[in-house]
Amino acid sequence: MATVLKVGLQKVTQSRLFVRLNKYKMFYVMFIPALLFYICFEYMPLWGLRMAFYEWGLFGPKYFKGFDNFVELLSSKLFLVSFVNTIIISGYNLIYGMLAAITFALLLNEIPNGVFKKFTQTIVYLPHFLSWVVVASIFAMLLSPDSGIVNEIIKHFGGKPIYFFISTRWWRTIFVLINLWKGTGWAAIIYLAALAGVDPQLYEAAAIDGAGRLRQTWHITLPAIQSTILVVFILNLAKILNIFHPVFLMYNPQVYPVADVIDTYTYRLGFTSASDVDLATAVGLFKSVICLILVVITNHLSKKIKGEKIL
Amino acid sequence: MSKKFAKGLALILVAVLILTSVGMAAKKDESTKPKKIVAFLDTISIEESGQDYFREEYKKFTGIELEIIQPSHNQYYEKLRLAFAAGEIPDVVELAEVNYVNYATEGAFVDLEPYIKKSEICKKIDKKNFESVRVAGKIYGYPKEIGDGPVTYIRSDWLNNLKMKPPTTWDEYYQLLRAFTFNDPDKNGKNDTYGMTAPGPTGDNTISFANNYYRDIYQDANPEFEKVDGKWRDGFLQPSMKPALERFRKVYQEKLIDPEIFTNKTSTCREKFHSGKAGIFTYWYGLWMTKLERDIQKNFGPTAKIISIPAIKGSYYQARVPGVLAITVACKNPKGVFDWFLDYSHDGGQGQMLFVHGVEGVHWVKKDGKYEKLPLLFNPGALYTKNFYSPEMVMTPWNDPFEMDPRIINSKNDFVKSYRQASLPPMPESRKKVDQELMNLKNEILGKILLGEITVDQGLARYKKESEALGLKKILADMNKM
Repeated sequence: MATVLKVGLQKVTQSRLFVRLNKYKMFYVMFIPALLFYICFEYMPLWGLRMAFYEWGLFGPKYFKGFDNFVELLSSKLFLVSFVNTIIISGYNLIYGMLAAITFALLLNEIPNGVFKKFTQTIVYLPHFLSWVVVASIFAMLLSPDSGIVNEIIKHFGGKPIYFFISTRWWRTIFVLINLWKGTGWAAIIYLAALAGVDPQLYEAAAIDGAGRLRQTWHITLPAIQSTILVVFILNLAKILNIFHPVFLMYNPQVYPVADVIDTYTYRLGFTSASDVDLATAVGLFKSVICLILVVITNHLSKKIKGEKIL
Repeated sequence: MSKKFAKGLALILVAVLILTSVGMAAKKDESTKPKKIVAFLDTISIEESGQDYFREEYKKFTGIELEIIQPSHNQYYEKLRLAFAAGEIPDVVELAEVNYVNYATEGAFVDLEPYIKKSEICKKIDKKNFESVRVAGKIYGYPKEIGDGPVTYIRSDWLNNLKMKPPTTWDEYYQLLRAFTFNDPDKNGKNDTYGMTAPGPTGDNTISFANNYYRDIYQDANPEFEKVDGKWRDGFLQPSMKPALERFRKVYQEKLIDPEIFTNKTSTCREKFHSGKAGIFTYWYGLWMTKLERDIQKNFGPTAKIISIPAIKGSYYQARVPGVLAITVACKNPKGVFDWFLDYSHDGGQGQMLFVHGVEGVHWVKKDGKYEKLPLLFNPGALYTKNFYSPEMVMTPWNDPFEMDPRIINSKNDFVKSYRQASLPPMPESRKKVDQELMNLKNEILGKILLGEITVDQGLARYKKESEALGLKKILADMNKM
């Protein structure tokens, strides 16, 4: 009897699955290109991660070395410096970047004049579309110790010119400011979209109750876009360690102690004179694991704060 | 034996001899001649300059199809590494210096010495060229050219304006730096010039930069690993380094040289030299002299001129290890590629003409018995200069039918008067593991010294202590064993 029931249940399940597949077959067909894309360009390259566990030569693996690369990595002073720098610089970028974008979106939202609002928005978006190469060149000129406008102003007020790009004291500040200049306008778009969805009646009710602009922002606007902020935070957190291009274009050996990040360290390990690809792969893998941990932690925090997970 | 029989026999023997030798020659040619060669090249003329015509002409002359893979210059070694990693290994690869050493050490190339010994063309080439690319006792690369290097160029119109002569000693050089910085050498009434400009003295390539572009300051010192009396040593720890760093610090602190040297690239330096921001620039001899002068004259007219000078007293110029062409172990017919590509391109005749000057009718023409270069295909405002090898740096002696600009010859002569040939420092595992840290340490110390944050003595003491902690003694011992 039990066997008959089991077979019957299996048949029903199979037929349901078939019905479902048949019903949504066009969706599955449409899904195939995306699936192939992910298999080819996201999952198949993961096979290369095995390099981290081998001594890898020009022609492939020489011998298996287990976790030796990771041990070497964690005992390397340069790696530890780059790891700490990555966390600090990425942390600055994440926190200041989000604060600037939210503030800008809130301010923009308060502008009643539509033309001026759009004009301001466009001007602040523009730097996003410049490549990092162009941005680095522009700021190299602006901050030049010889003829840059910033140093001309400093000299005008009796100060000494500062060679910003080789100063361990200034480099991170300059880097974060340049990031803000380039990214704030773009990052604000998503908050502006969230702000557009806030019910105006809430503001009217608050105004009747005597709430001023600041109180309205604090008690209505920010709670209304709270989930958007959290989603953006988690999404940004997953990629904060990827800061190769801007750092690579603006750093130099004089500021390695404060500017060298995991990505630039990996690049030098993999592609400069004494290239060590297996160690470089180990660094990359280590970085990915850190990213994964960060995302899991934030997702967990979301559950604690909001009562629901994002992912 | 009758006379007729003897004559007949002699004729038959001669005919047999001729036919046999022709047959042997033909057999040899056919047996080694590849149908196709895949070459991974960096510095050959780009597609826009008519690379297709070059490939067609090469096929016309040799019957061999040539496939050239040429990634962009600044990604060349990344792409090469990826090609090897992906198993898409070409027959021939162009490499330079430390990359050549690394690939050769990893067993990527065929030992060319047996072919070189048998080659009639190689016998015409100075042996020094082949010796300079010897790695761990073997010659894996065929040098492209003789090793070139930078010479010091000076704005001669500025010298005339200040009634000064080209420097021959450090004191004269120092006075010239001062005069170019403070005495308004361009007579524009503004204090807007520096003595010299140069690209970053620190950087991932930095130590080579130091040797290339700061020779007048370093003089007899060399911050890299160098071979002296057959032994490798760290130049940063030699007695000559202290006075060299003191000279460097002095001119930087007195603002006699471009203050932006730490972030300068070679292109920004050229731009500064062209635009009259600096009067001295140490850069590659040869064609570059004409290019630099042409670009300066675009800005300041034909009276703006530059001269090259021999190394000042106590200093020397350094010839880099020449770039090489190497045959990979994946090549199925190394002998054929050696004969028909490497040797052919240095044959002192048809092949060399093609690899140096390009294709007749596309890159040059013969007019009234005179050879003339044609305008660049992608920039008709400038003349074609070279295809793959620079005319002034060819290894096989020949009668180049093109007249060479006397400025090119002068700059080469100034270089040759006092140059040293660089060697290829080996890369044992002990060095590979800490090479970056050693380089960073040198860079950091050099920067702090120039910026006045530490003294030269403090810097050198720190380097001695920290390099020992990184295992410098073992590295040198390992290097000397290789």
